[in-house]
Amino acid sequence: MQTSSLKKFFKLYSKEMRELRPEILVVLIATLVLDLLFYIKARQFPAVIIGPSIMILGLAALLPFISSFKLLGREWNSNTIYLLLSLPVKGGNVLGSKLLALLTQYLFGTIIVTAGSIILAFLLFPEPGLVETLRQAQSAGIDTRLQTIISSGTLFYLMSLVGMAYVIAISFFSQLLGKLVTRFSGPITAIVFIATFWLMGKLMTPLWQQVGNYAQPHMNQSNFSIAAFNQLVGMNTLIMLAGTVIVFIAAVLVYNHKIEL
Amino acid sequence: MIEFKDVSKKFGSTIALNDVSLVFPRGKIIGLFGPNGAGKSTSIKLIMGLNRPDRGEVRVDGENPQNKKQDMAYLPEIDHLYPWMNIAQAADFTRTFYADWDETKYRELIKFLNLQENMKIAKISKGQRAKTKLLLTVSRRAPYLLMDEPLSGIDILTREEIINTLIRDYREGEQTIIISTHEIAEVESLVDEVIFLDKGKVKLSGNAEDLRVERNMSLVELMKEAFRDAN
Repeated sequence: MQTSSLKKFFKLYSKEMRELRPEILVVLIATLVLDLLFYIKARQFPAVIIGPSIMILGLAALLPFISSFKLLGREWNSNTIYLLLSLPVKGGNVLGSKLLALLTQYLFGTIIVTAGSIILAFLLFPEPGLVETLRQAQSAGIDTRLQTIISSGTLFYLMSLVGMAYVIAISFFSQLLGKLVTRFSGPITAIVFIATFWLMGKLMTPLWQQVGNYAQPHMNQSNFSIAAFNQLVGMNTLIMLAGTVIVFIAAVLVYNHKIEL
Repeated sequence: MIEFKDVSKKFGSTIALNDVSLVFPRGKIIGLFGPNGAGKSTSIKLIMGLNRPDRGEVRVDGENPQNKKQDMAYLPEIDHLYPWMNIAQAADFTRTFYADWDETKYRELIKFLNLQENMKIAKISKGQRAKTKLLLTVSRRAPYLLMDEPLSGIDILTREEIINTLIRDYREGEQTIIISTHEIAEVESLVDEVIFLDKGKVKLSGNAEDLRVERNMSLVELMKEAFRDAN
């Protein structure tokens, strides 16, 4: 029976998710342990929760990037690349499923940490405290409507997600180029990674600057528009997404046309 | 039909195949023989699309091997299965990608090979891993079955099981099996056609029975003679 391309993609994706399970568990356990520790020990100084939260958030955000090297490199180290390359699927599916799995890992990790921090904040900061903070922010001229908080937060989160996809795509591209040589594969991967990062930065910076100049009049202290700010974040995200697509396509082309055993 | 047209392949300064032209006829069991470094594995990888020729071309039914992967079942010499999977998971993974997966055959073979679905790849013996690879490859009704050193490092009983499985499931005229090995004695009775490779060149090729009758020698003796001359 013929299997659909989508089913093949999700089979690859679920395999990658299985490979990433230990890292996701690490974030989950670290969040639980640290949050619990701070809840018990730091009740007198509730402000210190910002420390562990940032620390685990950093871990959750950094792990998918590190895992991107593990996920692809392990295929060669454990010879499963023989299986992967013999499957009747193209590089887009193989690398796409790995990218999606790593983004899922990022999503899980950051959601776990954020949820943990929010719960901890609610437990440590009594209800009137949080409301008071919001009231203070409002009187300082900051738009604290739920709708605004959600839209700006979502946009920021999307930007971070695209940023993660961007570095993962560069990681794939540089690793695959590194695999084209038998000697000095590691140093070549590192050089290609830095060079691609630099080159893509050179390509995207003028576009970011242009978007920034356009949004500038609506974003000074006397005339701050949250809509203009959101637009700026959205445009910057789109530029980064375009960069991600370019690097990802380059990685797929290398996989399809250059990688051999 | 698989065709090599003036194929050359180098790895660094090592010549794996040197201007090789070959035809692997359809529906036969073909033995690809030769000592280590003769170019057997490279030939199989070229057919499978895992390597690309530096010069010349490889065609499978007139097409680029990259576009024929769904028609080929590949059994590499090395362990290429995900070690965290058990046999059932590995079968489920393989089944998803190939329309020619035969569930009935898989069920029969798992019993025939004395394997159990809950056996974890990382924890089973080398012989059981070899049988698992065979199980996953032969459970497909693929037009081409490519086996790279399927008997290497396997004990005699497991070898027998592997060969019996191949004999049991071979569909003559329909399926092409290419077996690369230097254990000629074990597969002598199995092969219809033989190709002897040495240092990336075809040393001798032809119908196994014709060669045996013509030279009054077994394939093992033929290989010894061919490579004694070469050295």
